[in-house]
This record gives sequence, structure tokens and C-alpha cells, in this order.
Amino acid sequence: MVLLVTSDNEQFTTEKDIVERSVLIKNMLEDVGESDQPIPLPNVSSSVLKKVLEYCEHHRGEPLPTADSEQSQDETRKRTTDISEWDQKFITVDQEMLFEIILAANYLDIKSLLDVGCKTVANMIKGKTPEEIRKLFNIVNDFTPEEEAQIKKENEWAEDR
Amino acid sequence: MHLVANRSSSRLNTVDAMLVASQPSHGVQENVLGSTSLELESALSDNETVLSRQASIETHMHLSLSKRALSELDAEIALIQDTLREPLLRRQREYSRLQSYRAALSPLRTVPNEILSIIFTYSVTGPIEVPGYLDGEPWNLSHVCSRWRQVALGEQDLWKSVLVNFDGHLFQQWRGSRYGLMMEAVLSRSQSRMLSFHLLVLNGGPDPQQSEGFVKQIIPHAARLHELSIWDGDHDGRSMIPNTLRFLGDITFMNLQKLLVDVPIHDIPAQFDRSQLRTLELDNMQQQLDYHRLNNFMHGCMTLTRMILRLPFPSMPLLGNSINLSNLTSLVLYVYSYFAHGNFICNFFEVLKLPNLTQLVMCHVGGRYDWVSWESPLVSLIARSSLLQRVYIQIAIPDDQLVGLITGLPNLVELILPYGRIIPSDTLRSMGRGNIVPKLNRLMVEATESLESYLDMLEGRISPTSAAEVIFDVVLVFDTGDDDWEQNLDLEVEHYPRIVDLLERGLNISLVHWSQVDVDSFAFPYQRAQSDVSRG
Repeated sequence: MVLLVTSDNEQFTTEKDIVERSVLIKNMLEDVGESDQPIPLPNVSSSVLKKVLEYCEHHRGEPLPTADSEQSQDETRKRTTDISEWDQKFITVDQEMLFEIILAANYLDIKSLLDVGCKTVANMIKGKTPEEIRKLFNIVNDFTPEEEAQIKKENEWAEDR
Repeated sequence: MHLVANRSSSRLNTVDAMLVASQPSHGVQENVLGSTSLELESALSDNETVLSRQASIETHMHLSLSKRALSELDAEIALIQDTLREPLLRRQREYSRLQSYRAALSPLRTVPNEILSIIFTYSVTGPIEVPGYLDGEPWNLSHVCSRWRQVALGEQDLWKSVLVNFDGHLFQQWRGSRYGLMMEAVLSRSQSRMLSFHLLVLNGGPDPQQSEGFVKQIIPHAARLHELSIWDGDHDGRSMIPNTLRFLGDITFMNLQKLLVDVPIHDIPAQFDRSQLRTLELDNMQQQLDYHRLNNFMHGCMTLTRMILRLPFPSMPLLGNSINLSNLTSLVLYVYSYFAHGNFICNFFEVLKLPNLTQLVMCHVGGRYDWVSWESPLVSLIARSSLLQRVYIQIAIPDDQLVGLITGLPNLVELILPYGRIIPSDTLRSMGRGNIVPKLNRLMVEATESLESYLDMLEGRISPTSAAEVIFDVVLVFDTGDDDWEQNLDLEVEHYPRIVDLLERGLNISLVHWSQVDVDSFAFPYQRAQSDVSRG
């Protein structure tokens, strides 16, 4: 069993093969060897870690991505934003939690979870106008006059299409 | 606001009173003025009544009172609007402050640029159309805010795949200039990335003069072209293709790795350097090919690892000298014809030497799966590729040939035979013992009237005495008529615990009706359908 301590000081005890889906934790465990020492996770809150562990538990036993598969995935990344049914349900959370899961997956180095998060955001963006995207994510239009001019020019390219 | 409303309502009452006073009243006066008010009433409800002088004077009075009331109301409204202007302005300021606070708290801010970049890469699912609209990805990403623009413009992968609308009409309309600017942006933003170019020839394509600008832009980047596809969008424009694509002769494709065309390759006036070509896709279902020229072309493709061919049946044996494609690991062959003789396929495999082939997909398009005959040497020709691991054959195989195929491929890991014959029970017994295809772990096959034998085989593979791989993914297809197909499955009571046991032992076993599974593009891993009997 492995003991994890979150940023808000909550402790989680979990099985090694679940938590080892995180490359960060896997490496830490390998470095430390057999030990009862808790692993501090200062960048992950308890509510987020709970979700992350739920994901790891569901996917326990699945092969971890290798360098080769990562490379081939990079090549096909463009084409597929499909997310499995379970993952879709899992990632149906509010925006704040979604981005926190993405950040935690990045920090803990859980490639598949990072991909699920990024694909979800990509699916939210797809086909939307810049204004719709701004509204969706509360983004301020802060273009400099130079950028505005460039964009205006770009829009002219397609005007008569 | 409350006060204003009251004030306005009292004013309205006054105006109403004036109007009421001026209107013909009922009762005694009605007798005096009755005729004029009736006239007016009638004039108000039709377009024909002509008012008498008296009625006309009265109506003018109504009109001027109405005008006065209207202008007083306008003044009233102006006053209210004036009063509202300031709060509205304040509200607008407050709302944008609120938006700024929301934006300041936006969780997206916490996401670093590297992750934003990954998100962008996922959101771009197709090539950039040039010329095209700017409302899709990746253009829209670069028009959101300053940070998104920087990230989008800095992520070369977003800009590396381009679909060039080689449209005769469009080129004329655009006169090349805007098209050129768009292409320039794409080429500069993709920086050093290898490029994928998809040329879609439409409306005859531009004439060579019109495409000159395009060629001038492409030539400096020719070394970055690693994927080229050429599609004839007109479908009947084959005669125009050589002229339209003449410019390709000016470009040296020195790093081309992937070539996809749907016009006969020998019609394309380009000298492709094939020394690095890894993937070749020829989609020539509906066209006549010069197979000798195709043979010549393929002789230069020694580095191919993947080949997808959609070919029509020739009337005579194709190709010529044998071609040794020793790097080829994956072959997808679609044969197009109605009733056709399988000698074509035999000839194909005679000419092509594929010693390292690991994946073979062979399908028939344009008719029933059993309209192509399976000639006897075919099994032995395929089995020359003894490293074959994945085989998907959608052409009916005779019983005796099927056994030969299965026994002749010892390295088989995945076998998909959605149509046709059923593996004989003695062969299934050998498979169960692991004497045949010991490495097989994925199987999709028709099992009509032979469920019992398949269950025996699968149980044999998981028994501790078997040295063979367990077949973890199994899809058994049944062709038992469309209605109540489960009833015709020969599913006996004793089969249920056996299926449950296999499922509990980790086998992903599915029993499906052939109409409920997409046999033409079947692929593992199989997601169980609702109709799957083993699901229940």
C-alpha cells in the first residue's frame, strides 16, 4: 500500500499498482524503495486526487504507454478525439475540476488521463467561433492593435470564398 | 422608475380624457352627431367610405389631438430614456467589470501553454482548406486572444496539413492573390515541419498559367513534402488531369513518404522519387489501368511498408516481372468487379513477393462476397508470407482452402473471416489443442450451427494442458435469418454456463447476428453491441 498526502493535508492510502499509473509516483517509489513514508503531492488537492485515483483504479492493469506507442499516438493525435464511454462520464465535471484534473495528470505524469482531459477541452472548442470560445472559457479579447490589424487582414482572405 | 411610471400613466390619462371628450359620445348627443361618428367608424374599418364635410372636420380634430398626444408621449419616452442612459452606461461598465473578474478567475489561465498546445493539436482534426473559410480550426484558435494566438502560431503541427482546392473556378475568382496569402501563412507557420499536401482537382482545375503562383510558392518547400494525395473531385476529369497537374513536373519530391492517388498513377506527369516511399495508396476502382506501367512504377517502391490498392479486375493478367517488396508489412487489397475469376488475385500474389508481410486485408467491392472465385493456388501463394499475423479476408473461401489457410499460417495472431465458410469441427479441435495457429488470440468468424464446436475450442485453449495462446477476443457471427435470430442459434441451456464461465475467465466473447456487426470495416478491439447474446 502507498500513502499519499495532498496539498490540503488529506491522506489517501491506495494500492501500488493503481498509483503506479502515475510515472511520477512510480519513479518516486522506485527511488525510495520499500518504505512506509508518505508521498507528498503539494500540487494536488484532495478533491482532485480522489478523481485521479478513481481513474487509475478503473484503468488498472491496462498497459502503460511506451515511448513507441506515444510516438505513434502523436502522429495520429490530429485524427482522433474519441473518448471511451466510461472516460466521458468520468470527465463530465465543471470547468474548474476539468482543468485541475488536466494539471494534476500533467504533474503526476499520467499520459492517458492528460489526453482524456485535453481531448475533452478540444471537443468543447471544435467548430466554435472565437467569440463563442471567449464566452465558454471567460476569455478577454486582449489583442493589441497590431494583432487586430493582422486578424482583420486574415479575415479578408476568405471574404469572397 | 416607479415614480416615472406613475407620472407617465397620469399623463396618459389626461391625453385619453382629451380624446374621449372629443369623440362622439353615446346617448342624447349620438342623435345629433350620430351620423358623423357612424361615418368615421365605417371609414376606419374599410377603404371605401368617403367622409362628409362634417365628419371630415371631426376626423381632423381627432387627428391633431392624436398627433399632440403622440408628441407628448415621445417627449415622455425621451425623458425616460434620458433618465435610463446613465444607469445603462453604469450597468455596461459593471458588466464588463464582472466579465473581467470572471476572466481573472478562469481556470483555463492555470493551464500552461504546452498543454494548451496539446489541446489545440487535438482540436485540429483535418487539413486546412486553401482557399477556404477561416471559421474553423486552427484559424479560430488564433483569433481568440493574444495568448491563444501566440500558442496557435507557435504550434507548427497545426499548420502542417493542407487541402488545396485545385478548383478551376475558384482560382479564376481569386486570381491567385488571396489564395497566395493564405498559403504563405500556412507555409510559414508550419516552419520546419514535414508537410502533407492534399490536392483536390475540381472543375477541371486551374490552367497551368493560373497555378504558376502556387508552384512558385511550393518549390522552396518541396523538401518538406512527405505526404501527397491527389484526388479527382470531378470523377470524370481524367483527361484533364495530365494538363492540370503538369506543374508537378517542376517539383522535386525528394522526401515523399506517402503517396495517395485516385487517378491512374501513370497519368500523373510527375517524377516521384520513390526511394523513401513508405505508404502507397492507389484508388482506381473505376478506372482502366495500364498494369505494365503500374508494374514499372512499383519496381521503384522498394521501401514500401504499407500498400493499399483498390483495383478493378483487368481483363488480362496484370503486371509483369516479379516485384520483391521486402519491407512491406501491411497490404490492403480491394478488388472491384462483379463476377470475377480469382486468377487475378493469384497472379497478383505470384508477381508480388512479400516475405515480411504481417497484415493482409483482402476485400471484394462491387458485388457479393462470393462472386469472386477462390482459386486453389491462392492459399499457398498467401502462405509464402509466412510471417502473417493479421488476416482479414472478405472473399468466400472454399472449405478445403480455408483449412489450408489456417494451417499454413503458424504465426497468425488475429483472424477475421466475416463471410463464408465455417471452420470444420476437426480443425477447431486441433485449434483447441493448440496444434494449429497456436499464437491466435483474436478471432472473428462465422459460427452458424457450430457454436458447440467453438465453445469446445475456446475451452481447450484455456485449459492448463494447452500450450497455445488463449483467444481473448472472440466474435462469433451467426447468419440465421433476421427474425428471432437468437432462437435459431442452437443455444442450448447447457451453453449458458459455459459462456458465462468463459466470460468470467476473462474472454471477451460476443455472439452477434451478421446484420448487427459492421463486417466490412470490422476491427478489434470489438465493443460489444446491445444485441450481443453473451451480454445477457
